[in-house]
Amino acid sequence: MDKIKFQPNMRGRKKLGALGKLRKLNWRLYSMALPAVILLALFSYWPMFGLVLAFKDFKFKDGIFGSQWMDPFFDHFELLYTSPDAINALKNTLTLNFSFIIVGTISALTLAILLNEVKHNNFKKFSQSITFLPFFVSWVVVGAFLAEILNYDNGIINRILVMLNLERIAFYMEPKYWPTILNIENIWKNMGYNAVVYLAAISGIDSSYYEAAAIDGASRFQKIRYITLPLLKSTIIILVLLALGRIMNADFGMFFYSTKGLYSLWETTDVIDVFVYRGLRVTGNIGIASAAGFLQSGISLIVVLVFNAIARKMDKDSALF
Amino acid sequence: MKRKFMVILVVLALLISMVGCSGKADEEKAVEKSPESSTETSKSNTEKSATETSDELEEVTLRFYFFGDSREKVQDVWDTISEKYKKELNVKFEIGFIPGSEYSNKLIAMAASGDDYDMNFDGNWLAYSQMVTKGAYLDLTELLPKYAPDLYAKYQELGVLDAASVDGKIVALPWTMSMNQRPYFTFNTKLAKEAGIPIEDGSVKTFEDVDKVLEQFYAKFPKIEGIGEFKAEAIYAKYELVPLNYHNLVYSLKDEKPVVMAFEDTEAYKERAMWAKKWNDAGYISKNAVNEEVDGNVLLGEEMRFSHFTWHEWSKNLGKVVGDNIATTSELYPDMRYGNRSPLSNVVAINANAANPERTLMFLNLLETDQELYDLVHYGIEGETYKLNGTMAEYAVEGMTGANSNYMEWGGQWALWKPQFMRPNATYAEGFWAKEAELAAQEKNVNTPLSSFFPDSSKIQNELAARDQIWELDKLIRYGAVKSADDAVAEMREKQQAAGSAVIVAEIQRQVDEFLAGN
Amino acid sequence: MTKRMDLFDIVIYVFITVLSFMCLYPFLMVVAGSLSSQSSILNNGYKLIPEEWTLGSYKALFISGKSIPRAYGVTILVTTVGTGLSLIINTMMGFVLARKEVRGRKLLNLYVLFTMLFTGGMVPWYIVCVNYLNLKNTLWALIMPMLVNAWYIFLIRNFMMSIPGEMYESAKIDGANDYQVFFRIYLSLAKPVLATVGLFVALRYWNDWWLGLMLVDKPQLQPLQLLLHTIISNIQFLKTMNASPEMQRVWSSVPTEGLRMAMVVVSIGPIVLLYPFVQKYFVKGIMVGAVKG
Repeated sequence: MDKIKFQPNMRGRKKLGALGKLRKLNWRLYSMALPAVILLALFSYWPMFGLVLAFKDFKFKDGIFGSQWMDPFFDHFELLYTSPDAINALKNTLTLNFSFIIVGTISALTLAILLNEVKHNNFKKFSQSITFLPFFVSWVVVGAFLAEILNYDNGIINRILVMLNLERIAFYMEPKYWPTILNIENIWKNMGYNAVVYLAAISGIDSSYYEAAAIDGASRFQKIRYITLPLLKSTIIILVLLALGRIMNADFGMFFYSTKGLYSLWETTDVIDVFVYRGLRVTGNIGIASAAGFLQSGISLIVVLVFNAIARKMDKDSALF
Repeated sequence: MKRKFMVILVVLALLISMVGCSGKADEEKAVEKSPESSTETSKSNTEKSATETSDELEEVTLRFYFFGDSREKVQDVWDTISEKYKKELNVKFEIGFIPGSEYSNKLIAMAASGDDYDMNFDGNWLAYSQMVTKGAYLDLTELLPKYAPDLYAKYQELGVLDAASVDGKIVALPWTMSMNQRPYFTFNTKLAKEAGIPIEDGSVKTFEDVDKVLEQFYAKFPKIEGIGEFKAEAIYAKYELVPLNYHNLVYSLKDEKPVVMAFEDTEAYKERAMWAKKWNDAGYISKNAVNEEVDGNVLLGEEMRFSHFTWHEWSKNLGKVVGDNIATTSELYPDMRYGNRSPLSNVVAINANAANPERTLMFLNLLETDQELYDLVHYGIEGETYKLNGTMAEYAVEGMTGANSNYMEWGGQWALWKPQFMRPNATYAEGFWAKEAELAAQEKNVNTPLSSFFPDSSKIQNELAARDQIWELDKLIRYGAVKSADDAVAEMREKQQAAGSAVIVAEIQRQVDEFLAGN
Repeated sequence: MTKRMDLFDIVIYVFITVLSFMCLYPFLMVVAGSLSSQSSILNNGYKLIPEEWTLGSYKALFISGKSIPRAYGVTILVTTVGTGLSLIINTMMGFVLARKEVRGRKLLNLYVLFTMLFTGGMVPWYIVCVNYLNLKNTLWALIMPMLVNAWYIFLIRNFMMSIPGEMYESAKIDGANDYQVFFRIYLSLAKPVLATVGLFVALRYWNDWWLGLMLVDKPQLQPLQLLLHTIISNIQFLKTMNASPEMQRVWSSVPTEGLRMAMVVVSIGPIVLLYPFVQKYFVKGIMVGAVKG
């Protein structure tokens, strides 16, 4: 939008002394970044020395660095690349999260735009609050409701099927229905929460755009299509990119409590977090857990790098870096 | 300019990483140091206690961690203990509780950070195996006889210390209860009467009997769930199998010398799968059971389920859980031998970096011999957190609420149960534990040859993780929720083989042989 | 703005009403479930109106007799201080990242982003917090580790970037320094995103029990959600460990179903208190006055 670049210090560049250089560096701005930089260093970067645990035979008394390196070096990764179930879980994590991102973004965006079109303020506020409610319902409770809806004998869906003279479905034995079920759950639970971000972005749009469009006789649909959506583009891109950063991290609660981790549903629902949990529930091997984390982070990094490059091509400003 | 900034950033990054590195160095130092320093203090304390009389003991604070949920009165009670035993122990207590799902996580984080807390509760169903493998518990071989002679003598008499030893070093203090968890068939008495099923003690002994009863029940009540999951313990009894309590490995009492087997490779496993499948097909096992989470006893009490398999402690005890006279129990395969419960079910262990291991042991020793202390630790202050009714400890008395009654909760009590002092309470009637011990002493209830064997997992970590992972299939098998029992068992066997079950079995067999040779 | 309804409006209203109903109905079932007896839930499933009313689940939540008011106090303190600090720190960082003239902006972006992708794991994190930062058993332990969050920073950055650059430059020409520009102009312009992030941060602090669990042993410092979580966690754990008789003994005596529902109801606190307040910042065109005036 703004193309004018204001660069007050263009002239006299070579004559700056040490102090001037500092001033040139704009220390005030950097000092504003400092608290966040330090806190990230303390709580995120410092503990990262623990990444070596993925390659260590960790013994408490030797400490993290005193412990022996694994032999073979990638031993902790073995479970993750030899087991066919692990590969299945990796695949599911990627595909399900992709679908969550796409479906979730569209639903949250739709909700935000529609809410914004509501003219009665009380109705708007009320419905906005209500769509936020599912966010508070824990996955355990969602899982319990789901089990009741899908109940073989008297779940609502099976009762309808019987009424229509169709055969009952044993949902917990049939993996093919689950990607849909999980997507619906995801929309239901997070739509209201995610819509808030878009609502905030919409309220940041300069209303003179809409006024101008109204003068030109644009319909409401056209306003959404040609003003709201294009101006939300950068928000959408950034949210999608951020979501892609967690593409390998499945929402454990959602999967664990909805599918109960059932073997019969693994084919389409087993994700890497549940896989690791199941394997380490008893042995609690920190090394294998670290290795899984390492792998998840690595894949996410690649995904983010790729999509960030694409985003930069689309819109330079909204890329992450 | 850009380059300059890069330089600054690099310097910053270096600085941060240096802080990190110096931190690492410190940490290593701290971790290396603490065991030494603790032994130093222990030495100095040893000297002291040897030369000085006990009332000149220096005051120290002991930090204990228990399982479960802390109650308001905890600190009051432990302060009272501290007052009362000032002469013998001169300690203050800091009592922490860790909730269930995070118990292992927090213990491991604390141990890894070199925390100097003194003692924690553990068990083979909690973090025990991980903690021991990582060397988190203190070697008590020398300290135990010295500071807790009475407790040590008791352990010698029971012969359970081997179980809590690794490489000949004592690393934990198992409980001294003896009990047997023989499988029982439990069913709702009222429903049985209505279905015309005879209610005699011992009328249901075999799976064929169970099958018959279920058929009779189904004819009358097709809508009520006939039976819950097919617990592994039930089939163990028929085949005289003993679980190693270790990643579903078993051995048979019929073998002269224990031969370690993967449970899924046994005949027993096949039979169990067959029955479960049959009962699922017949509608005795609910199609929803596999994803239900409600407790079986609650279902039984609510007449939403007719029967299930339980174990001995529960069978005799069940009335207290679901209401009196609701359930009838029948011992399964009463003539077969069955292994007594492992002493590692509940243990306390002393932290390798503990600040005051000696004083902790002195406390434990006193607990072994002093009923008054035991009452304080388990039931709290008479009249405040419980009422004595004869010998019975009552929690739910007028004027007591959840806030002050049963102040240690169950999770806090398991750690330090002593059969000689346990008072009867609402859950365990008078003489319950004596009877339990008598039962465990019966001929058919045997102390198994490997009851004090504790496997070392360090060489088979990947295989074990893969095994536990695939074991999830068992859930479908024990509910009969599979297309074909034979195929499911075959799938389990194949997958486990591919995941290295043979490696695990071979490794554990080797350790077992070594263990037996050593005894 | 006229309030004449056209077809488009009707479609929107119907759609949102249906959607709201879909969100509200299960929630009402949660409320009802928290007020139903265990046996009525088991026998009849979850109903909108409890068949058998009881406060048993709420009693069970608070039965452990811990000081609930004290825990509330801790939670409220942590939430207010944490949200305030977190908003300032994240917003300043977002502001800096949104300024194109900042050298090394790309690196700084990466620096923030990287923390989203890689974590050191629980044990090293614990060691840092306890052994080096000495956070154990302090109130700061409940606040500091969650102060900065890459996700919020990027949200704020993105919003700040949509604010026309003229605002910044004209203020600078008027002689304001960066702090003045930030506090006097940008904070008020960024109200919608601050409201959003503030809400999210407050929710996180309010709902957090993990920090308390790991870093706080003293009962006086335990936040509300930790007390509640402990109760639920014990029961949940007992279920997964069904092989242990110890476990069964405990969990069969607790009204598990209703308890979980009650927990949901209790955790709703902040939305009821905060959301109406936050909503007023979501009014379209809030920027107009600022730009023109």
